[in-house]
Amino acid sequence: MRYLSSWRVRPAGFISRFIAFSIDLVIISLMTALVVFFVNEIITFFGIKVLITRWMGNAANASTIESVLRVLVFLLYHIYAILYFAVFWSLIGYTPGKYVLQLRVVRVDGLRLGFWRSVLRAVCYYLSALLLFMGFIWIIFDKNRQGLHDKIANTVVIYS
Amino acid sequence: MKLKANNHNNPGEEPEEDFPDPSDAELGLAQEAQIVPQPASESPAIQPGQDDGAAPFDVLLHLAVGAALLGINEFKNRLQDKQTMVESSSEPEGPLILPDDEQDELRYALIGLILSTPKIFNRGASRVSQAANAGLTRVSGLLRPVTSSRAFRPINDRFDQMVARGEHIVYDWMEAGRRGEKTSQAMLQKTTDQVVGDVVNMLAKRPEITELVQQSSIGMAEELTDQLQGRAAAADTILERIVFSIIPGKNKDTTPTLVIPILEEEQARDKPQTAKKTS
Repeated sequence: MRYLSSWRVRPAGFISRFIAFSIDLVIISLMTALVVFFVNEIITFFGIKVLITRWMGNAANASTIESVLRVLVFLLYHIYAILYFAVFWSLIGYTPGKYVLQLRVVRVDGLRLGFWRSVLRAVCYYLSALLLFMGFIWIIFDKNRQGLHDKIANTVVIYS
Repeated sequence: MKLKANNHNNPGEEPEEDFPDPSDAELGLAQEAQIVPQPASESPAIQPGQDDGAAPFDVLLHLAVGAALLGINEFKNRLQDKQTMVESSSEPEGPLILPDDEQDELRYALIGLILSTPKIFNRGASRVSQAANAGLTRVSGLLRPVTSSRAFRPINDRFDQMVARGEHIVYDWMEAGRRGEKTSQAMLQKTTDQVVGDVVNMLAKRPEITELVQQSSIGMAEELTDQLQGRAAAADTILERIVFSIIPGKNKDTTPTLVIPILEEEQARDKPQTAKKTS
């Protein structure tokens, strides 16, 4: 394997990436809401909720089960979000939101992201958010417009 | 189909003569339009094998009448709007300045004549009517001894019968017109809606039309995304300029560029579509 040439590209800025991210979040939320709606309808239709209440014996235990289910839904939502980003980045290099803004995520050596690198980058979104969103804001100040998650995953977002 | 005269005016009297009934039921229009339902006594059932050939013509006639009514109504409305607009925008009349040129004088006189013609006709018609009324009163006064004589009575009776018959015919026409006006307008409306629907359906089924709509939709979407991308990229640059103008010691005037090496195996698969190639 050898280098043939090089591409001079422009890294994408904070606002473009923020808009693309917002579009992706809307898509994820809508799809999750649909899934939750249908699951809830199925549970209600087949009387599973009533069965659980009777099986648990009293209302307090039933509410504990409901809380556990809520946490499970929350976790599934985030797992789904990570998979959404990871699958799109590793398969085609961009998510629907990034496609609208004509952005692409690549490795700093120009290659497409692998699946696990994509998962790492998506997980690092949470790290960037946990640091008072400084990981995202860093995009404005970095010379290559890389955020914290980009630095960790060794990636860059470019205008395609 | 014939209908006995006077059967809806004076049911007790014996009808004198048969008159043609132009009702919608007889023409088969009430059944088609289903808009002006008629009582069973007023709308006789269609006799099979009778007036079969007349139905399309009658439908056409109703459509033509409906179109004419609609057109006249629309024309009247537009004319009124135009008149209101002209009256509101007309300037107050200034002092009359007589033209010097003879051609201008002639032209103005002709225009004035044309504009005054309706008033002249109205005035003339009114005078003629007054004179005719006066003449008729005088003549009828002179002829009254003759016309009221016993010898003249059969003629008078015959004349009264003719007048009654004429009035009845006119009454029937009015009835048919009253019913036909609504039916015609409704039929036209229904036909127009149907034709518009058919045209839209036909256009929707044509592949070139659907292709055109799809292309224009895709074009609009592409244009929208291009605009969004361009504005977002410009906003990126503006944001960075603002931030670096606030923060001292930082200088980021130019938009950053990144040189990404392309490997042999990945060149075809991973190259950015619109990136500028540099050696």
